[in-house]
Amino acid sequence: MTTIRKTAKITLTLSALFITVAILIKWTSLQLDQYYFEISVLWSSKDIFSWWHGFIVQFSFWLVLLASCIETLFCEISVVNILKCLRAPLVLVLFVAAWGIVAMFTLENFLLFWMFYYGGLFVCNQVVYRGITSVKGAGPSGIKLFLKSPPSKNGGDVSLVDRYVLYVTRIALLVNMLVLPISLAVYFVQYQQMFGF
Amino acid sequence: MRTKEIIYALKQVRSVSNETTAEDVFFMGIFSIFFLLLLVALINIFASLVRAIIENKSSWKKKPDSELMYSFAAGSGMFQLNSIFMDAIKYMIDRKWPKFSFASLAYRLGNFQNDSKFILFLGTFAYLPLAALGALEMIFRLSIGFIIYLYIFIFICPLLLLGFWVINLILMPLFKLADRFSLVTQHCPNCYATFKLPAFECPHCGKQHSNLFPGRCGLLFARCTCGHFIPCASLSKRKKLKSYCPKCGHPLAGPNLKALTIQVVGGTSSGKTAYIAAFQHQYVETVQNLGVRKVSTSPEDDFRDLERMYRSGKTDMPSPKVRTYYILHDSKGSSDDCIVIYDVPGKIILNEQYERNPLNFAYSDGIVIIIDPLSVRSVREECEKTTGPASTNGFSENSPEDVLVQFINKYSEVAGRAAKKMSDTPIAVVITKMDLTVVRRKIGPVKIKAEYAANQNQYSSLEDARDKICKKYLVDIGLVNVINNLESVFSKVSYFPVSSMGHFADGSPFDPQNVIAPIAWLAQKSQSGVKDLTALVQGEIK
Repeated sequence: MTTIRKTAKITLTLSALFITVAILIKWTSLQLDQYYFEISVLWSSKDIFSWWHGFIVQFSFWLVLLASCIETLFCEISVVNILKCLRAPLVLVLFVAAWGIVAMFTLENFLLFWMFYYGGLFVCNQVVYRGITSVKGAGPSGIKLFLKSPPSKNGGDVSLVDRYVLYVTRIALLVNMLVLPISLAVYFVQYQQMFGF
Repeated sequence: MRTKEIIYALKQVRSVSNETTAEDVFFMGIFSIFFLLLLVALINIFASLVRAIIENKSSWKKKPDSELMYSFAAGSGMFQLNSIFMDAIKYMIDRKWPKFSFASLAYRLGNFQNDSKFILFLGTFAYLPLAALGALEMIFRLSIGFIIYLYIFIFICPLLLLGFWVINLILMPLFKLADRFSLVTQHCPNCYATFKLPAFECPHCGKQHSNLFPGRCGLLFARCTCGHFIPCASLSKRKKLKSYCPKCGHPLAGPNLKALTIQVVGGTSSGKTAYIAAFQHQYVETVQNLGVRKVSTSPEDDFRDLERMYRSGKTDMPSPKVRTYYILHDSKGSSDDCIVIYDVPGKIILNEQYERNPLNFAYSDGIVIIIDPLSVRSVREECEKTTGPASTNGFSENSPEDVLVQFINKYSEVAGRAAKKMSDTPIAVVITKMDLTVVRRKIGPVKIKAEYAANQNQYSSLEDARDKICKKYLVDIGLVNVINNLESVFSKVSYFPVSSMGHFADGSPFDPQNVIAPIAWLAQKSQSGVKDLTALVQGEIK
């Protein structure tokens, strides 16, 4: 058994990381106004699509972030491990940041950006799902077996609460894994004319 | 009109409050947190102080080579102040114990254990703000606490203690002097040591204190190492404590007794113990019946033996050692009156075993010399003729003359009496077995009264008649040397016919006659505090 004080190290590291990102964004908004403007325009371009895509994109990002944080909880506490667990959302953020740089020098293509973002979300979702599956107490890795085994049967030495948390997270990621390709397909069909098909 | 003005003012206030910006809210929040932290810090500073005071209320400074503590004003106060200061700082720094503290809450929450990492993770969202507030609170506590404590412990309390110390210093000699004046010289019945201040027993832990007087340990009450306060002065009823001889540790009948010390001297089986048994019974019973003073006896076992002898009518075999009997009279003052009777066995005087003899100390207020007329052959023979041989059973085989000469020699030696100077110690010569017909006819009360009535011109008083008739009787039975020896050494000698048992030793209870008179006379002559009481008892019995 461990204590809240020891667990607080993870919370502190995560908080430090998020605060760093927030400061970086704020700094960007103040120092690199052109770049920040491009990113803002890029990000707000989701409003021109139907609400569903905007919702899925946001929901998936926060789900990936939350699932990464949960994965962080179950890994050995170190900065490297925490960064490793948070690699998926970080990659997504970096992807947006990189696209912003590209957008500054070339013609903006929202469709392509959101298509890649969808793809990126799907890959990150997969990565996080794999990460969560490897955590002790998350249940069997096979989807069929996993769906058949309730949390009470997964991993004896892990707390039941943790097993339920992992179970719910996995289910959410699985659902997201199904929803994301469908949404991407809908996105293609819906806006195929804009792609030039 | 007035109502409208109020409504208008309220609207103005509301509009102002509605104009409150986010910045204002932020600063108000910061101020509220600051105020809350200050409040919590102050509460904990005060709580640390209170806890330190409560825990150190019993920490008093022990006096070296004593089982007492220094009084608050004379040393314990400063000692306690130091202990409280150190502990208050310790508790102020300690974040674990307070209940109403952010630091304490953070500490407890931080140590909360659970199997679930998720629950612990959720817990950290409460823990981290609490820990931050706790750290700030500790900074407040330490900075403000040190200033407050320094102010209290370096300025206020030492000044107060200094005041107490000065007052104590002024009062100490006065209390000491008053106590010293109230002390009476006493003697240990066991080792015969002379002392004024006995050792006192703490009624709570049983420790003996040989220096229980007003001083640095207290003016009225001193604190024992067991933590209880005990009276240390006559004013505070120190006499209620059990007392012991400071030299040998023998329990004393009382701590500060104004004693009428009487030595009862006589040959073996002369009737000393029977006399004491008869006296104590009649005296104690009468005083109790009169209800004028509260009276008690000590040692209880010895008095129980005396009472048994009194009721059974039979005395025990002569004891080889000196016995001491205390009859105590309770009083409201610092000292109690008491009659101390030393039963000195004839063997001790005749064998010159004076090493442990109270006579060695010559502190008697009076001496009772017991003379058994049956120790004189002629009296014994006359008695056997008159009342039968059984009437002379248990007579003293020691010659009264031998006993007396031996006693006078030793008394002169130990009292340092000059050859030509007479001692003013009163001597009551008690002629026992007055109940015997042959004795009663000569010195019985009826005979004395009749003689006094018939020849009043020869006697100044009834007492004078009694003295002269008894002396004549002793001369008649051949004890003229006894009288001569006594009256050549002691200036105050009186003679008393006494019957301790009042009858033969036939197993029936004592029926004493005239046993109070000798001691009442001694009390009067030595100006004892019990002289009036003994006179009252004597009058009551008559």
